[in-house]
Amino acid sequence: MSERERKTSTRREAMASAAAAAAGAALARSALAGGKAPLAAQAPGHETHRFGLAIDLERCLRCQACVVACASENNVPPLGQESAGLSRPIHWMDMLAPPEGGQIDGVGRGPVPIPCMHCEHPECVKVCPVGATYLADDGVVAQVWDRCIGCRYCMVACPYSRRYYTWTAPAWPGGDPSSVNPDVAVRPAGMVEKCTLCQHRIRALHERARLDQEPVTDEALRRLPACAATCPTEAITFGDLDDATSALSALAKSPRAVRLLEHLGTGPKVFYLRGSR
Amino acid sequence: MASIGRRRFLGSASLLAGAAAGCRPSRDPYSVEKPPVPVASNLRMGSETQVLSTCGLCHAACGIRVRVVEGRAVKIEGNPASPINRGRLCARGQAGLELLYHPDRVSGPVRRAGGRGENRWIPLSWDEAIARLASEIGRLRTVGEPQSLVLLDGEDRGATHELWARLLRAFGSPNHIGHGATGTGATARAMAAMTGAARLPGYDFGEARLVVLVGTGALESSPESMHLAAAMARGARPRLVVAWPRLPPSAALVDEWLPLAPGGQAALLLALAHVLLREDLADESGLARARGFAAFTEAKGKAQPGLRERIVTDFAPDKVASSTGLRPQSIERLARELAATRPSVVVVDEATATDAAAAAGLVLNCLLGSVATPGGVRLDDGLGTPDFGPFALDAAAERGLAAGAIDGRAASQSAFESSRILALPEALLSGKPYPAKALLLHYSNPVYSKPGGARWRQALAKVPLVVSFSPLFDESALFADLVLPDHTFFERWDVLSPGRGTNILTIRQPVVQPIRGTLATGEVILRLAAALGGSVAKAFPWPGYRRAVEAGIASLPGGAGEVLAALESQGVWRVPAVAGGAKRESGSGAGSGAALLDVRGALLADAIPEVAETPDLPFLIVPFRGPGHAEGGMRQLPWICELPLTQSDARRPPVEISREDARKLGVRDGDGVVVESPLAHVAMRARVRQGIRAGVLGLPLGGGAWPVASAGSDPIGLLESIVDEKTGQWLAQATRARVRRDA
Repeated sequence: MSERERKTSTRREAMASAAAAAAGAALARSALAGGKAPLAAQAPGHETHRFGLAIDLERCLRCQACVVACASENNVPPLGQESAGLSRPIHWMDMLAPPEGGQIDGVGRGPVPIPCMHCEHPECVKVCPVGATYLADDGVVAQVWDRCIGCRYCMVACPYSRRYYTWTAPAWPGGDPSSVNPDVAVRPAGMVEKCTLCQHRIRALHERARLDQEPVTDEALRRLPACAATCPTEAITFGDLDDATSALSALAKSPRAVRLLEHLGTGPKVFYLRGSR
Repeated sequence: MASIGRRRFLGSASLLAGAAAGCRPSRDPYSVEKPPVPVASNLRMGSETQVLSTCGLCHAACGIRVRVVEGRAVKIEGNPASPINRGRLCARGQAGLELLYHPDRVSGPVRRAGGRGENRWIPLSWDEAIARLASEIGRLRTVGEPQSLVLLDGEDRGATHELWARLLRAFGSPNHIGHGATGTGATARAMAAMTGAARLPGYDFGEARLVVLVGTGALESSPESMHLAAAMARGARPRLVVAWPRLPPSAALVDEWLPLAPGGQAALLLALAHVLLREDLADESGLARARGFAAFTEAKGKAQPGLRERIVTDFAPDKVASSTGLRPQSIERLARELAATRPSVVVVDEATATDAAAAAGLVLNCLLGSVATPGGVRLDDGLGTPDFGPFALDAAAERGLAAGAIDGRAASQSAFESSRILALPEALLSGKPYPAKALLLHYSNPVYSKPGGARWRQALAKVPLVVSFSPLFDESALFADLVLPDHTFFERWDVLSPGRGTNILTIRQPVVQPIRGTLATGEVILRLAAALGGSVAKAFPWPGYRRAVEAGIASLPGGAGEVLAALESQGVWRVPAVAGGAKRESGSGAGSGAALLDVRGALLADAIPEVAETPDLPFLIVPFRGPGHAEGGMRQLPWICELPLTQSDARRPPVEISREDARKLGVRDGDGVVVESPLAHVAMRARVRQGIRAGVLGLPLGGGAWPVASAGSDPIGLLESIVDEKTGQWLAQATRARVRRDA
């Protein structure tokens, strides 16, 4: 176990990463059986995960498909006219817009899609008084919805404002929630919610790979979260930074790659690729 | 209890949600509240499927793959097999489920109970509704006035559209009226004149190195934006030059902006052609035999200078400086760049093109050698357009068709793409050339979507029978006597030909069982024809819509069976590479470029609008189509209304104003302003921008109140219905206005 993992590993962790645990068990079994290649592992010698995103601003059309795809996948209901007027809409994937003609420091012109940065050293986790939010051992800054008491310390602590308070109970137009995704819990009023990098999709993929006894490939990961899956220009790339051969790792090393507010030392795992012209 | 909830939640979220579908939410304060999800009619516990279909929220016809869990559609993804979107999807497509499960959907056929617009209805069965409609319009035929039946058809292709065309002909009405005059009509007419077929073009963004966008559709909202995105996903990144009065939110991708004056499209395009011809940079081979390029003689015997001569004498960049509002040097530099950076292509936004601009755009592309070549304009073969075969007209139908169309299009322009929808309110109100007795609205909500909206309301009131096929109660449906609600595209079976050079067919299949008592309009047409009887019924020999579609595609290679098998397994079917049997325009082989047939349309640039100085109304309104635009708007989809970049709620859209103008008026970003046009005054919020030309107001289309609000409060009500006299095309950028701060 690395230094980072040892620090954060708790019972909570173990429960949350059922998939990883299962993979570990399977690994042990296959070692006993003495034949098969290690399961659910990517490149040889690589068994940890640090998931992140890269967003190529040279491609991003600012079409906001990622915003709606995220809401649809993660059961983020629209808030309706009244709440929208109060600037309360919830966008796990939002658009960060500098004043026109202005710049976002180091990133460049124009609005950019902004999900949770899934920091290596998340400020939100440090302040949570009930341990509802945590850095999972796959790098996702995750949250146990049930545990959140809605104190909003994390919202204050997050330098990227990537957390949202649920001012109202979820309500679908006309009260018909038929389109809710059964894989994602619906959050009640009075708590804070955030991007999970579509953790349920990550877990499902690893679970499937375990059952099929196939490795999880970078190819399968690349467009896994709802935002990356829908991006019309394929500007969003998901992947594992611990896999040196992943597309994300290559993009993160690009001279165009920048991170937001890097000087704060939060270590965001979302990389923006600056426009080259 | 709390700990059980927590553990279950952590361990298996899907199991929990599955259970929640069946039980009421617990009162336990620590439990997560689950909405009581309605049980679908065909529920099978734990079932999960992916259904291939086709998006219906714009003209692009992207392939979709819908995840259906226990009979409920829960997520839309792109279909990777579709060459249009290659598995991706735009914001609108992602929000489609809000349409499927929309609370304002019409539950089944209804007839009006109270006065028009009162929104009181009496439910009918489908048999009753169709019998009622058949007897009402059948009477028009028996009294010898079949021409008094008018159809507004918001679709311009596909089997339902073709069946409507067939029904109207068999019935004897020449009044099959499309929305082209406020949209793609000019482009369709230019294509018809120049290439022989009124099929919209596509663009090969993947190969082009320089793309000049005249209009911002490809960057904000249009079928072209998906084509451009798919090319960029494959790594293409052409240099992008935008010549338009305003920049879209994706301005950061734009390499150069020429802030064109409103209405200056054709002048700019012909000035670019002028520079190419003057500096001998043009390839004239594709125009050598085109009618109207060299000097020609009119039918009346009058000699006319050809387009070439007109371009050379009248369209020097400095001569058109007042129309384009651009420095001549900028135009000259762009022309040289277009010539030097091959392949280069000019995209005249089809939604906002005037006739002259659409024609001039094609001429310019032809001079660049960019028609039907890699990196240029893609012509469409039109394969897969349903062909239902000939049918016989009876004497009543012949007489009705001879009466001429009610919208005043010339007999020589009887084609659908020439219809003049904006002439309709006047015709309905005046009863000239003849009164309309029945108005059918298919994919049409003119009261909301058309300029001069209040006029439409009055006009609809004059028509004795108004029938809407809208699946939602929209503004126009509220004025209807009969509403026969269509399925949404999630509940319908259909085969579509997306066109634009894609050369594919794509299937639409029911994703879920119809969740309301709706019926596909294609089916209604067949049942209506049968109820009308006589020669009308004979023209529709098919027992159902699906059989009609199969008959319509039977002549394709492999026959309907093979095509449908491919469609059902892949979602799309690629038209096999052009073989001996398929028609193609002469000279359109790869590399050589296509020859144009008739370029006289570009001479309409004569009608460069005189920029009348009106000190009282100093601004020109430039309406634009953001992600929320569609016939009838996207304001009923809350996810689209609440997109972060609209920076306010799209149900109350902002008006864009330049920094200079804002400073003069003392308006700051977000301030309330009142915009006044000759038609209306509307209170809006100002959005102060750098990326908009001074003297211009940017007005987003597709926003507005939902549920349907009172008359005249929507910003679209500001727009005047000013048309090009020769073609009936709406001049979208000709409405003048003034702005003042809202006290």
